[in-house]
Amino acid sequence: MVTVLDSEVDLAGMYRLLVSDGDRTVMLKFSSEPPYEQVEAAFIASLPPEPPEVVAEDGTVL
Amino acid sequence: MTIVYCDWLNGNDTTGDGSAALPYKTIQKASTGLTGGDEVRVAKSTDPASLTGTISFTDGSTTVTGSGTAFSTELASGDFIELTAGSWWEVLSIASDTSLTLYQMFSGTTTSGYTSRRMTASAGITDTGAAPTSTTLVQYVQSSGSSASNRLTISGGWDLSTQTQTGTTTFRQTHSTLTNRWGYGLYVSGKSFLAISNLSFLRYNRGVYFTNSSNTNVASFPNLISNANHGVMLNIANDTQLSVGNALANERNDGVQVAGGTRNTVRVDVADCNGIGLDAISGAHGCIFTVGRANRNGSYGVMLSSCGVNTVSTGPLYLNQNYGLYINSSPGTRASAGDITMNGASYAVLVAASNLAEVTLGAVSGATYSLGVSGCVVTVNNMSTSGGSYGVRCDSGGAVRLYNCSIGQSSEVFFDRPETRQTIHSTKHDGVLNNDWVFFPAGYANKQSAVTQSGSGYAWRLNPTTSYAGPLNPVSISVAKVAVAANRQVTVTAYVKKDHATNIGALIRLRGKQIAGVAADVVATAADNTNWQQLTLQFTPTEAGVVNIDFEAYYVADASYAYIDSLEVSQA
Repeated sequence: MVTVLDSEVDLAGMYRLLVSDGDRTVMLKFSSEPPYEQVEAAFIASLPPEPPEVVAEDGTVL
Repeated sequence: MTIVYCDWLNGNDTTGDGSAALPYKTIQKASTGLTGGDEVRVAKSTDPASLTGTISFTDGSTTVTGSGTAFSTELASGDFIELTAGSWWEVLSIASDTSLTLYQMFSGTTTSGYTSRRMTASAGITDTGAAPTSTTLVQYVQSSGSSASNRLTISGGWDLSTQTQTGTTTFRQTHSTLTNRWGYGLYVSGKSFLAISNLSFLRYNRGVYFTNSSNTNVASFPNLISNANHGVMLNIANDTQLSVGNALANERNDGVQVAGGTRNTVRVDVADCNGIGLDAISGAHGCIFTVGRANRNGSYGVMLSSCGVNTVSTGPLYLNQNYGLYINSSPGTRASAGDITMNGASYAVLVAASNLAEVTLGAVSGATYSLGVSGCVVTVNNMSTSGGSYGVRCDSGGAVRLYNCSIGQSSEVFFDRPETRQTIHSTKHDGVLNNDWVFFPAGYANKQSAVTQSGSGYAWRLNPTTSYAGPLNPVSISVAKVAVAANRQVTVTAYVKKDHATNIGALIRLRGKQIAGVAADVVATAADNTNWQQLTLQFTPTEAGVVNIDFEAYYVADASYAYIDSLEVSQA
């Protein structure tokens, strides 16, 4: 569940939403006013990617 | 001027005399004892033969299908077929008269019903046999020219019967083990003032290898294809002008590699399906690199690593495996690129440890991060991004200045650490004048017109979004650079507004020690209310100079805004 803390339209006409899940707050940008589902999906997509596994020559995950 | 002929198929280094009637076999024999103004004329290969029927091929595929073709009798593994005019691709295996597999996937326009040609042992190619080792010098140059205006010329494509240049010369190594792409097709060691042209090299270890202070040469090669390690390598060569038509499928390493050296001008028209299309490394500096396109390379389209200041200009970089453009440890690089298209790679463009690099880009798409900047200060112009997860990633203390860039992703920026002072400045953001933004790991700043003190124009707004942007790590922008005289009091005033009385702090600051006479910071902090309030800084420098004024906002209890407008400066 994410919360839209604030929203505005910037000078380029882009919709900017300040979105938080309580732990992380990010600003997301949309070309038009997005439905909640789109905001939530964009928030999830903005999560930092998992770091790649580093595997030793013997196959051990370091 | 001495003219010496060589002909690998019909010449003889022992019994020949270098005349057109009795040519030598090799370039090394023909070039022995020559000097500036002399010429080595290399016998042309026979013309490519027509391929019966028509063929169809697909961008990104190794499959070629035929209609009315006779692949089984007209082609063999290691032969080459033409897929679009002048673009030659090696045949790996033949399944039937109408189906074959290429050594590397085709890169180019998907085409059907194409009337093709073939280069085989009997047409289009001069076979030099199987090189016995990977480093065998199949042919090499024995002499230098005299000066830039008096070069030793070595050129291919000569019809020895008429002594006219009517074709091209394409050499091929033919080890029976497919992976043994051995030998150096043409080796140039310690030779200068050469003019080499109209020679192509296929299936060697290195097609052409310049090394050991081979400087001030001018060389052009139409085709350097299917070599193991490099189409051509310039190893610590200076002042060389190198031009390559097609550097294709040199799959283990690079289409063109420039290792060290300075003041080289390198152009490659097509650098597809290599390990790296163009690869500049090991201190190459002062060079100008031009790449028509670098597509579908196994790792990078274009890479500059551990180089000095170079200029690189490239056309589209399409579906390279790891990065389209990679600039690493190469400060001051100036790069421009056409559209960069990736297919799920981490980065389309990565600039790392390359301070003061400046990059001008086209449309960048299809990577998790369209642009990554790591540990350096980089300027990026004109980029437009889409696809993937993020527009710009900034990490390891990097700073990015974007000019006229359009970020298509909802998540425009990504910082690796929230507590750092990394910044992404974007002027004319999304291509709109005055839409200026600064992105921080824990907040934002932007120019806006909705809330102003003056009632017109623009005011900057700061937005610390998390507690990482506390008083010791505020969201901060420079709002003025002031030229001051010595020993006269300077007064800076600005109107500041907070949208919450206590959830956010805001101040203007002159940092101390910028100028003599101002040892400590001079700060004016906004009171706990939501009114526009005028803040004043006063200081008296004891020397003339320029000082910077910052506007800072820090997180106290919630993500809130602070605005600054109507800044004025006076001096007594």
